[in-house]
Amino acid sequence: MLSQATNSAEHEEKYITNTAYLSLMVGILFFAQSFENTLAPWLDSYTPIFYIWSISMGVGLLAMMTFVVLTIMSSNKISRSSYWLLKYDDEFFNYVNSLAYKWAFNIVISFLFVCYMLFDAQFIVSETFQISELAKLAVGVALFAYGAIVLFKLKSSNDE
Amino acid sequence: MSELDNNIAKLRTKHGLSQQDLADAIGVSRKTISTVETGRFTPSVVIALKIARHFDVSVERVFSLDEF
Repeated sequence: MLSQATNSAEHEEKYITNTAYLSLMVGILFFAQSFENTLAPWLDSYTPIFYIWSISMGVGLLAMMTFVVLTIMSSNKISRSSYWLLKYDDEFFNYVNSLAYKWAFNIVISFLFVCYMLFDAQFIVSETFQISELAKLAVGVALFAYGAIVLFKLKSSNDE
Repeated sequence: MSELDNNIAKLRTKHGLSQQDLADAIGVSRKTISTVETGRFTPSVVIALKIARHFDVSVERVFSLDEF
């Protein structure tokens, strides 16, 4: 029974790590996508920015697909509640997960509030940066914040 | 304000156990033991009782409150 619990903790650690990397990568991709319309004049022609952008997006998509596969593979060995509700059996992983959710929520709320203030005061007026771009940016910030906080907490807990 | 102090590292050393050994014995991750030991994570009563039971001591021997 004890070895089962131990295995569960190891699998959960792999799963939460892969989920965090996936969240980070998807966050970066959403973040980048939100500026695609703004960068469109440079991306349409074969400029250095076009090549840098294309290669970066290709690498990002490849990394995302890798973490999708790793996350699915590691999800086979954990409980259903961990998978669907991200409720881990191990207390520390549950704590890290909850903490990351709270911080991601606070960061997104603060970010959207700043956006609201800037748009409302008409500091930002752009024809290319519409509501769908703002939504992509908010999703990107939320996912990036969640992944980064989980990875930071897991890394900082490595000390003996 | 009070902080939770613990003697887990001392008890581990006394019993010749690594963090991983203790984690395996009570069914948690090594990170849980590591962060509880360093005071960065406050465990539940269940884990506190499991640790105390593993070392065959009372919970008060493992955890105590530091009053400030």
